[in-house]
Amino acid sequence: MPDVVVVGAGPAGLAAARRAVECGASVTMVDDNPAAGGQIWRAAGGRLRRETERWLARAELITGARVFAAPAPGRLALETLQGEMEIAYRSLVLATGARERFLPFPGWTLPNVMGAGGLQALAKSGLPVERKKVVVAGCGPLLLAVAEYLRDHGANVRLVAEQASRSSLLRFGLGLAGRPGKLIQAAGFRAGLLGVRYFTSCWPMAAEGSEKLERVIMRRGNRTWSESCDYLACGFGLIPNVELPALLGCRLGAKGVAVDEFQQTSVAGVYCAGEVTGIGGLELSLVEGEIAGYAAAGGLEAARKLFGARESRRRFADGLERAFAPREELKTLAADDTLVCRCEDVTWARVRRFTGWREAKLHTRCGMGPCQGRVCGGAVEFLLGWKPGSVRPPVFPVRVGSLAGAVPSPQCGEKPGDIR
Amino acid sequence: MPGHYVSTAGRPHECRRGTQECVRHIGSRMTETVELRVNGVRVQAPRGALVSTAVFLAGVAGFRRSVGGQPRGPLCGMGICFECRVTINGREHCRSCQVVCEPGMEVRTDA
Repeated sequence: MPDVVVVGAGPAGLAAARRAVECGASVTMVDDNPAAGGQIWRAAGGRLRRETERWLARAELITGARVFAAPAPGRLALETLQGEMEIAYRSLVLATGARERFLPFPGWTLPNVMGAGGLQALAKSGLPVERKKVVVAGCGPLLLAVAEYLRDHGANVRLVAEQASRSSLLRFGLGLAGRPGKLIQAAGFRAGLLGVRYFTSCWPMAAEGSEKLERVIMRRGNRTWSESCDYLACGFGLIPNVELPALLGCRLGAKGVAVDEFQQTSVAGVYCAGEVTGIGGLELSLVEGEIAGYAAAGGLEAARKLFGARESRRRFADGLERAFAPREELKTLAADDTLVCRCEDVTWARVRRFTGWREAKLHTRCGMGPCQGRVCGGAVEFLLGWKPGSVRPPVFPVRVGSLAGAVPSPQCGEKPGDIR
Repeated sequence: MPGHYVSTAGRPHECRRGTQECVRHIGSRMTETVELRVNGVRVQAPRGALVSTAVFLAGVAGFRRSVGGQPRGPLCGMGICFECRVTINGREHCRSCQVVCEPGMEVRTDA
């Protein structure tokens, strides 16, 4: 049995694994992607890639494996391409990261309307974007990073539309005093993007096209116009992936999984680090991962030395969140016939008649398709204030064979919608 | 090496920056290709590319139809949304953004 199991091989998980290994613990990492690195280090070149590999060298890594249940305390059930398996642990670090928040607007279900991080992830894994017309929209610093990446890979980035106001960003800018690294980073994005239009107080009203996206209707102040494009990369910030910690019984706070100063959750021996405890960006994820890794392996003194660094990065993250908070007008984008739940094709008019998730699920199946509310959940929370309910296994759709504990046959198709 | 030309997905591409982020470095693995079929059409995908990329390279934007019959394609790019589901080697409902292309794969979309 490994001393420490780390779920999620992004920056926080890798940092945790590295520190736990340094303390002499045996470490196994689990990730559902084909390779380690998470979203931010996906297919990264140069220094970051090498860092990833260095940190991985002394831990065992299982990729392409999804944790779908916790059959007993100290055990996790995984589904891999080869079948299901169980893994036992003494301490557990959950670094399950975050996903993008999507908000419904007319046409947002058309092919080629994607998340901002979504299009970048696809481009990083080989999708050619050369000469493609792209509009990048939504909120947060991710938009700039995505626009720069796409531009550098030959895309014709027509516009970066940030919904936050200029004054909101300027207030944040002042709060950056004393943090030169961040300032340079922020300025670097802007300089790298010279020639690309960057509009504040600007957002998409509708996406149009017959079988796929052809144009986006943009709005800025009282002006609306049509922007012809091949891809719309649109995300309204990030939301933490709390499903697995919730399944294990970890208490949730306002921003994500609640943790103590050693990143330990309300469940003894289970730690959380990175975006899953609240959106904070790469640097906060790294330091949280280090603290969790030390603590999970018993290195409390070493963990304590990093509390100061974590505190300052948290303050920065809080400022970021305030500056880029989604504005009220975004709640009015969806029309009556705009789909909110893309899995079950449930419209906004049908969802908003209800008072909460339970009722809406019973009557409309909203949030009960293959994604299990991971997409519409963030939208509905913003639009109607509904908090997601309790989490039950399987936390991901799995083959029937995995649930039965049998070896799945190759003929048995994965039918996510069939298992609820 | 600004100005060098490399082939990405079978098309010439000019390196714009000559840094470690340029396509040549990102895609040192991508100068090789693997051949697979999407809806019966042969596609050369960069080695290491995901099946979702191969589907786009085949000129397909609609990966599947929703329960109401609407065309859908990838949204999240990271295995969360299940919008990019395709049939791979006869196995239905595979998330194309989570599976790496392999030589000889048979991929079917249903849009």
